[in-house]
Order: sequence, then structure tokens, then C-alpha cells
Amino acid sequence: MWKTVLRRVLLMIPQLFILSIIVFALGQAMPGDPFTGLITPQTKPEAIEALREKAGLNNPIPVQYKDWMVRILRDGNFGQSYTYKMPVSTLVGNRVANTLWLSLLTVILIYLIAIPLGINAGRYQDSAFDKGVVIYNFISYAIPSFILGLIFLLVFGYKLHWFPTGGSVDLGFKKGTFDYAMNKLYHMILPAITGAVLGTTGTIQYLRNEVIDAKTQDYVKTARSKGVPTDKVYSHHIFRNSFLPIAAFLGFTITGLLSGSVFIETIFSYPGMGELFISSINSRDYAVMNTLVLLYGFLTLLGSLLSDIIMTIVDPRIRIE
Amino acid sequence: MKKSWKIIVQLLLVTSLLMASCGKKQSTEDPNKSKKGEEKQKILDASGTIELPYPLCVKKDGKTVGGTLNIAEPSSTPFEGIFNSFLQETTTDQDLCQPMWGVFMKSGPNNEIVDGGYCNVKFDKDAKTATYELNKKLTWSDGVPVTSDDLIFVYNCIANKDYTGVRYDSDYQNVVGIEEYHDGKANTISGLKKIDDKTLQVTFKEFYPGILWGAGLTYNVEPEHYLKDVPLKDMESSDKVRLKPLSCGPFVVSNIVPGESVEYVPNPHWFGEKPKLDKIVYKRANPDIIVEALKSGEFDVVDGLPADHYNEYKDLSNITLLSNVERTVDYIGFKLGKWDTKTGQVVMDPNMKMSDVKLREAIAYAANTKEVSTQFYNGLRIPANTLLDPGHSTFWDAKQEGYKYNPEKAKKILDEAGYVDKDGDGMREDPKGNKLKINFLARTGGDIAEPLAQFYIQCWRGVGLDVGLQNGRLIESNAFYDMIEADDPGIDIFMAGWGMGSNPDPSGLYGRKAQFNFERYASEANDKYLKAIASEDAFGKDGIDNDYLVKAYKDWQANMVKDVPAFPTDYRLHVTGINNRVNYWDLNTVSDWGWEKVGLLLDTPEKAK
Repeated sequence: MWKTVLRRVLLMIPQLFILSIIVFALGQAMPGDPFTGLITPQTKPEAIEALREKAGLNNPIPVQYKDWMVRILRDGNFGQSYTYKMPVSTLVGNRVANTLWLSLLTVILIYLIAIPLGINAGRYQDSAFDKGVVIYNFISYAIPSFILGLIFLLVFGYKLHWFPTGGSVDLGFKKGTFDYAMNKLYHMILPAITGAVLGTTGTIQYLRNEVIDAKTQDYVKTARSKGVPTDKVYSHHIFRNSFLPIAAFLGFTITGLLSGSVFIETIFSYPGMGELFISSINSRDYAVMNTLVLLYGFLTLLGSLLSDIIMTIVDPRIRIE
Repeated sequence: MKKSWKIIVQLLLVTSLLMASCGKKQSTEDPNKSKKGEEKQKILDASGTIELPYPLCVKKDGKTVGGTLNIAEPSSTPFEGIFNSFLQETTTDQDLCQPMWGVFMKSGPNNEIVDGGYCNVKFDKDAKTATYELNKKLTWSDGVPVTSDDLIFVYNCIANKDYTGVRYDSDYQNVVGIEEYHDGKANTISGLKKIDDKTLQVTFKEFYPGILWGAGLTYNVEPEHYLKDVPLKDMESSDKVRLKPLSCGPFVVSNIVPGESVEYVPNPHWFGEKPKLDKIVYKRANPDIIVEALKSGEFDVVDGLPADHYNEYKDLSNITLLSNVERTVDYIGFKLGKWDTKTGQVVMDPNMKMSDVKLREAIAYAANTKEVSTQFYNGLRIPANTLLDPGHSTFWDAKQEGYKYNPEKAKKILDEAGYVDKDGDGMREDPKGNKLKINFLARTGGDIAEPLAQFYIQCWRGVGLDVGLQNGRLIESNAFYDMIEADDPGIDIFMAGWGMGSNPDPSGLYGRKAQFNFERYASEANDKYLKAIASEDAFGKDGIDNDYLVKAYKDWQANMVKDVPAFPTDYRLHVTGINNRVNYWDLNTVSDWGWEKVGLLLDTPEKAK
């Protein structure tokens, strides 16, 4: 198996290389550049031209690409963000931490909500509980994230004052202290609940279907006839088998922790990766944009690899040569 | 039978949902009918004085309690947070620095520099100098006095070859000796002469009126002793600029969460009257939820309430609304030529579709700008009359007629100029009999963009002109400016806007050598009037000769109306919401307001009923 894994990892390199060329070319094709937004009637065009020259934007495109690649591979320097005026690695580093924690909390909540709901809906099929879960599933799938986010923000933030209405942390907390962590958690709860309520759809659906299928399987009949209590049949045997489709996505879920949701981050004024990605495209911040696309490309490839590995662990019938 | 009915009903339900979502959106409320009769928006013709819907200032008596003033910074993205006057680039960062900058230099009614701030400036036209006079008691928040060295430091940074910002422009290059310093030929800028610790004299190569508005001067001062060891190219990411800036104003930064919030406390070494507040907190807020936050009392001040949420906040009981005219002009321009990069000037082309001034006049008369202001912007825009903004109150010509909406006059002008419908299709042909198809270039942006563009097109089609969106759709902002700057041959009319700085001199936008002259318009008369504005005759015995300049600007505005290379559509109103517990806020350009004078009358903000 490890031979295949190594081969997949090595294959990533040309894939990422092609991705970098595509994203670079597409970025150049977009109208405007990082300095278009800086123009005011008082700005002298020569000043903008000088900045363009210094940033190397007047070089031919292959030269710009070569410079960029060389800087990344040789120095590990992903460049300077034009909009935020700081190294891309610092900027992305700050945001990644925020998004990672929020996504982790969201995923934990998703599984906490979805797994019991999905399994019990499948177990008590056609009962009132099952019908309720199915209806909830469809509604949560249909509601756009920004609407639910705004509703939660209005009710729990502004009307009830239970949770903060924006930002990732309050002023005055020192980084690294317990209070700081608690305050950050407090700010994350509302966006995480929003994301969790909306993200349970796939998990509940798959689990419910798998449990319904599994109920008719032979091994269940065997377990029952052996005298295993019904609860244990579900929590031990059926759960493991039903979890396969979820495990298939686990790899992507893990790497997806870093992508963040633009809607949720914008509504809750939460500074994360999703928001950074969109605003870097809008402001033509090439350095950040290209770095993020490369990052996401790498994460997607890694995610699919992880999924495959997890599948072999979870299901002994699956083996990679 | 029963089963098929079930399916039919379900299908009907689904299709009716589809149809509902496809329908055109109806406007739910007529913005002119408001619940409170007296609060009706008054849109006056801009050729009278502008009557603002809300007062400029709120001032209340009463004992203040200290406390924290919460200010919202409307922004949908985290802010950059560069607390340095020559390195920052966004208006958000500028807003955030206000409590620590205070009133370093005071503004007059036309935004010119006058005495009364922490630093006065004395101008000498004959000697071609400007002399900074710092207040003797002005001190940095770490106890070190502010000196002329700090002013020299700003010049040295801007002129340094490692400078990463946009401010080193032709105004700064006008300082004697600065180009030699920039090129490395000199160690200091010879035109800067330190008279004493609190006085600095700057000598210019040429002395023009813009200098009285700050051209070639620094609006603020930065701490040389604090920043001198930071290499210039690393300065903008240094903690000394991002997290712990020094201040010589009434407040100093005490805490920052990068991109999200800033906290200020009173500056212990501030020389003026003791601030009435214990703290000021700026928090970034998504513009969509700002009204809700205002209702719940989360923010005491929201400077710049969004026009499209007007109906949600105009009747709130816990706030006072203030308004003022912004220094912006939205306009519709005509493409009249090209930009010649070799000679660095515009070249007019008399054969372009829009070259006929009669056609341009008709288009201007046919645009119903009054209805745009009332219907599209809830009355928060004012129909405009000249290309100068009313924020420069004395120079703006309030009495200029401009192009008031008059479709009958437009039709008459077109008939007389030979634009008649010869082939009976309802649209006029040009005087030579050729089909006249006019391209209108407009930008995307918000819900209003498409209906607004279509509205103007309807106005023009209503007088028989075949106008359509270029390429059949709105253009994204960056692409729009690319096309405009490159003089895309398809463009006939375009819609854009300018935010003016403090210096009202229009030569940067309408001069023959201005790259931002998007209309590509030039004429001898225009050259003459622009020269008059920027000439030495603008100086009287001491300072500006206001009468001369008022006339010079009036002449220029009148000429722009006559030649109409562009006509203004509307001016914007700035609306600020202040919680009732704040005792003093003033939007006037000229005022005695200062951050140290703001106080709170209650411990907790008032909530909306």
C-alpha cells in the first residue's frame, strides 16, 4: 500500500505545477491589478506606474511566473500581500488558525447532531421521529446559509444578547491565556452552530439510508439470533458498516477544515480563509490569490489520498495494491 | 384517479414556486410616503442652496459620565490597520486613526489649511515658503516632545527610494532638494530648514495655490525617535505601526485585535483639555447588520449609514441622525478623443459620435436626475448642477442652472440640430441620415446598478435616441476602468463618479495633461480657466484672495456647462447615526469639535423602542 501512497504523493507535484500555471494565467487575464483600486483624483499616475514597475507587473508574463516560482521553491517566500501589506505567509497563517478552529467546532457539532439523528431515523423508520428528521434535513438543505446566519445573529445576538455579534475575539485578552481561548470559543459558537445546522444534510441522509439497508442484511439477522441486544446491534455492528460512506468523505472533510465558508464569515464578521480568498480575488491581490489556490489544490489532492487511506483502514475488504 | 390528482397538485405547487421566483421584483414601498409626515425627504434643486434632511451638529448639555464610546467602522472585510499617515492607503485606516490624529491642521470652509490646529502653517508667496509652527506643548504619548525633526522624518520617508506608498508625487517633487535626496545625490533635503525645535521652513520651486491646501505639505507628523531604527521597507508590517503606534493627539491606542477592533484611551501627555471619555472602541461591522446593531445600542456612532437601508433606520427612537454633503460628484461623461501616451496629453477627435455639442446638451437635458435621487436613493442624493462638489462650499456655484431635466427642450435641440427620425422606426438618425446607435458603459455594483442604468436609457430613448448598454450588460468595475483608460472605441457615454480630496483644483481630472481626464476633452477656454485657478493671482496680500478664486471657479464651472464634456448627475449625502447618550458630534468642515470634547450622558446606550 505504501508504494501506491508514495506514487500518489509524487504524482501531486506535476498536478500542482500545472495548477500553478493555470491559476497564474487566469489571474493575469482578469482586468485590473492590485493598484487599480488606489486611484483618487489626487493620485499622480506616475506614482502608480512606479509601484507597478517595482512590483514587477510590467515584466512579460513568463518572467513574472518564473520569478514567483523561484521565490517559492528557493526561499519559501510566498510574496507580499498588496492589500494588507504583510507577508502572505503571516496573513494566511493568522487566518488559517481562525478557520481551523471554527471548522473543527463545526465538524464536531455536525457529527454530534447528525450521527444520532441519522442512525435513529433509520432505526425507527417511518415513525414520527423519522419523518421529522427527514423534513428537518430537507429544510436545512434548502435554507441558504446567509439567511440562517442572519436569523441566528438577529435572534441570539441582537435580541437575546446570548452571543457576541462579530469578530473572533474581544479586546484585552492576552494571547495564550485560558481566558483568551474561552473568549475565542465564545465568539465561535454562533457561526459554528449555523454551519453545523446547514452541514448535517449529507451525513444524515447517508447514515439513514445505510442503516435502512443494513437492517435487512444477513449479519444483522445472525447477531440478533445470537442474542445480541438490539442497542448493541445498532451501536456496534450497523454503525460501523453504515459509516463507510462518511469515512469516504472524511479525507475531504479534514482538508476542508481549512477552506471556510464565505457567507458565514462575512455575516459574523469572522476573519477567516473564505473571506480572505474572495476579497483577494476582488482586490486582485495576486500573491494571496495564487497562494490560496495552490493551497486548496494541494489540500484537495491530499484529501482524496487521505480518504483512500482511511477507507482501507475502516473496511478490511478494500485494499490498495 | 386519486393518485393522478395527487401528482397534478404536487406539480402545480412546484411550478407555481418556480413562477414566483421568476417574476420581476415589485417595489414594496413608495419612498416618498413616509410614516412621519414632516420627515419627508426634501430634494431641492441644487441650483438653490442645499437643504440637508438632517442637522449638521448635535450638542447637548448635561453631566458626562466617562464610559466607553463604541464606534462602528462599516467594512465587509477586515481592515488593514496601518496606523501611519504616510503608509496607509485605505479610508478605513484613515477613519481609525482619527482619535489619535485629532486636529493636527485645521480646515477652512473650502478645506484649505487655516490656523487653529496643533500645527499652524505660515505661507509666504514671494519667498516661496511654507513654515510649520508646532504647538509648543505638543508631546508624544511616551513623553517625548514633538519637534521639527518629526516633520523632516516624514519628508525623508516619502522621498526615500525604498518608500512603498503612493504619496511621492509632483507636489512633493516641488520641494527644493527633494529629487536629489530621492536619487541618492544628497543626504538631506536642502529645501527643509529647521528654524528651531518647533518651527520648520519648507522652500518650494514654484508657489501655486494648491500649496495652501497642503500640496507638498504633510498633514500629520510621525515620531522620528520611535521609528528611525525601523527599515523603511519593513515599516508597514512593523509592530510599531500596526500594534503600538505613538500619538500626539487626545487619545492613544491601547489595544488592537488586527483587522477587527481598536481601543483608545486618553493620551497621558496630551496638552489640551482632558478628554471626557474613558475609552473609545472601534469595531469593524458588516454594513448589512449595522442598523440592527444601532437599534440594540451596540454602537454609539455609525459614521456613514448605508443609503439602501434608509427606511430601516430613519425612524429609530434611540438615535439622532446627522447629515452633510459628501465631497463626491457622480457624473455621466462623453468620450471625445484619445489619450496620447507619447505627448502625455489628450487629443480630441472632432469626428466622434459625441463630438456634436448639441447632441450632448440634449442628452444632459433628457436625464431625469431628480427622479433618480428620489426613487433610487431614498432621497439621500441631490440632483447635481456642476462638476464641482458642494463640499467645497464657497467655490461651488450654487446659482449655476446646470442641466435641469427638460425632455421637451432636449427634443427641440435635437430637431434643430438635424437629428430627426427619417426612416420611421421611432429613433432619430444623425444629421447625415445614418443610423445613430449610442453605447452606454456602466458598472456593476449593488442592486441599484442595473435598474439605474436602464432608467437613464429609458430617459434617452424617450426623446428618440437609440441608446443601449455597451455589450448588452453592465461591466465589472476593474474591467470598466481598463476600458475607459484604454479609450475603448465602442464607448460613447459612460457613468462614473469621483471622490474629491481637500484640494478642489480640477486640473487633475479635466486638464489637457491629466491622465484621469477620461472624457479626453480639451479646449483653449478650459486651459485658460484652469490656469486661472492655479495661478499666482489667487494670492492676495495675506493668503488666498477668495473673491478671485470664487470667480475663477465660477468661470470654469460655467464653461464646463457650456461645453458639457460631462454632466453631473448627483451629489451624495453622508448620514451619521448618533446614540442619544452622546453629547456632541459635528459634521461641519469648520468647527471647534474635537475628540476630547465628546462625552456620554448615560452609562448605557439607549436602545430602540
